[in-house]
Amino acid sequence: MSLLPDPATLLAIADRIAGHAAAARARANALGAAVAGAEWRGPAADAFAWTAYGVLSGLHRAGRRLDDAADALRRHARVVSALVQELERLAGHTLGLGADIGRTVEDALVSPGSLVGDGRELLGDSAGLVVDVGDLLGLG
Amino acid sequence: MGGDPAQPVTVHGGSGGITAQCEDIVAMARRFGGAAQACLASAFALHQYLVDPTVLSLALLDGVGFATFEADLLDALDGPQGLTWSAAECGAIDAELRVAAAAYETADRLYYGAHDVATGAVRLPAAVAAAAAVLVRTGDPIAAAEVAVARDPEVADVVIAALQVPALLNLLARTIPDGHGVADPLGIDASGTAARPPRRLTDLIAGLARRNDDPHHGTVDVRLLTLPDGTRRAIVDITGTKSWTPLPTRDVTSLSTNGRALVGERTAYEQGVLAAMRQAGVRQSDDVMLIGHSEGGMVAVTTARDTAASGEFNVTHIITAGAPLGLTAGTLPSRIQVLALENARDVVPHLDGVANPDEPNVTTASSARGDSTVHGDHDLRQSYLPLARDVEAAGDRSIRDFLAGSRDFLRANTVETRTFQVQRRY
Repeated sequence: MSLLPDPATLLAIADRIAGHAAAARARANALGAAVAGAEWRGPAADAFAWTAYGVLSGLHRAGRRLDDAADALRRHARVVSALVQELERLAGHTLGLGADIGRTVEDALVSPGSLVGDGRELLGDSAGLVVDVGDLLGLG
Repeated sequence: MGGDPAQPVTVHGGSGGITAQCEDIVAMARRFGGAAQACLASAFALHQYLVDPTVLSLALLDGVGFATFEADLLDALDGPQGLTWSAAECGAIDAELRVAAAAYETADRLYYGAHDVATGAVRLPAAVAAAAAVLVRTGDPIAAAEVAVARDPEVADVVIAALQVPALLNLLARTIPDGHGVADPLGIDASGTAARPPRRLTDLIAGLARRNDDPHHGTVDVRLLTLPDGTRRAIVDITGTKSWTPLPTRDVTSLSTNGRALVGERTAYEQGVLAAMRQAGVRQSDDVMLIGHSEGGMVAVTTARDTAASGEFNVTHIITAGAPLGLTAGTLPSRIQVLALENARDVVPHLDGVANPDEPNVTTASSARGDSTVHGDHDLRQSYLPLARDVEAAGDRSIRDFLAGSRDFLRANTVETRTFQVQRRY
C-alpha cells in the first residue's frame, strides 16, 4: 500500500469544481431568462438590463474559468498518478533486489561455484534499477 | 353612440400597475439576492480546495501542474469577474432593485395624492365658467352644479375628503335600521340578452343594463352558465340606487345601503344577493362573477369579501361600473380580480374621496363618456356601455390579463337567467 494519498481524490475534487461551474452557468442562464422576461420598460429598465447582463456574462466567465481549473487539476492528477505508479514499481524492484542479494550470499556459502553466475545476475538487476531511477528523474 | 370612435382609456392598477410592477421588481431582486448567496457559498467551498491536504501533499510530485491548478482556481474565484465578484455584484443588484421599487411606490403614492388636487385645480376655472353659463342661460342652479361637477369630477375627491363625506354618510346611514335582506324570485328571463351567453365585456354590461331597466327596485340576476365541458359558472348582476330616501324603507337600494357599503359594512342588500344565489342553485364549486352598477358595485365588493371569508361561494371576478370602491377594493383577497369601470366625467366613483388602490388584482379603467349631466354621466347605457367598448378596444396589459382570466365566463354554451327582487325586511 502506498504512503501517498490516492490521486483519484484529485479527480473527485475536479468533478466537484466542475459541478460548481455548471451550477454557476445554470444560475446565470436562469437569471438571464428572468431579465429577458421582465415587463418593465424605460430608461431605468434598460440600465438595469445592461448591468444585469454584464454581471451574468461575468458569472458565465467564472463558470468557464472554474472548468479550466478543474481541467488543470485533472491533468495534474494524471501526472501524479503516473508518478505514483512508477514509484510503486521501483519500490517493488528494490525489494526484489534485496531478496536476490540474500539468496546470492546464501548460495555462495552453500555452493561457492555458482557465485560468479549469481553475481552477474545481481549486477544486471542493479543496473536495471539504476536505469529506472534515471528514467523517473528524467535522466534517461 | 354605438358608432362612436373608441376613446382613449386610462388604466390604473392591475397586473400592469405600479404595485404589480414593484412586486415584479422585488421578485427580481430576490432572484439576484438568492444567486448572490449561492455564489458566495460556492466560492467559500471552492476556496477550501486551494488548501486541501490531498492537493498539497501531492504537489511535490508535479509542481508545475499543481501551480497551474492553484492559479486557475484562484483566478476563477477572486480574479476580475470571478465568482466572488459575481456574488458581490448580484448582491448589489438585489439591493438596488429593492431601493428602486420602494422609491417607485412612494413616488406613485405622492403622485396620486397630488393628482386630484392638481387636476381639480386646473379644471376648476373652466368648470365654474361652464356652470355660470348654464346658470345664466337656464336660471337653474341644480343644472349649473351638475355641469360644474361633470366638468371637474377630480375636485370632488378633494372636497369630499376634506368634508369627511364618507364618514358623515356612514354616520347618517347607521341611524337608519338596515333590517335584513330577502330575495323574492321574479322568474326566469328567457328573452333578449338574458337568453344569450355573454361573449364579451359589453355583453356583460348590457346584461346588467337590462336588469337595471327593470321597474322593480333592487333587482338581481343570477345567470347560470354551462360551458362546453359541462362545468358551470355563475354571473350575478346587482343593480344600483333607485331610492335616495333617508327613511326606513323596504327598498334595499336606499341611502342606508349606500352609507354602509361605501365604507365596506355588510348590508341587507348583500344578504339578499346571497339569498338569491342560494335560491338560484349556485354551488360552492361554481366560479362566480359579480357585476354591479354604482351601489351594486359596492355591494358586489362586500359580498365577494364576505363569501371569501365564509367559503359559501367562490367569487373569482368582479366588474363594477361607476362604483366608489376606493375604501373597500383593497380589502379583497388577492385571488379575486376586479375590473372597475369609471367614467372620467362621472362624479359617483369619487364619492369615497379616494382613488381606487393600485393593487395587482384591482384594475381601474377610465375614459370620458356621457353628456355632462350627473345622471347621464353615471348612466349605464349612456356612459358605461360605450366605456366598456373603449376598454375592449384598449390594448393595456392589465385589461388584457383581466379579460383573459375571465374568459370562461364568456364561452358558455347555454345560460339560464333567474331574476330576483331583493327587499329589506324589519
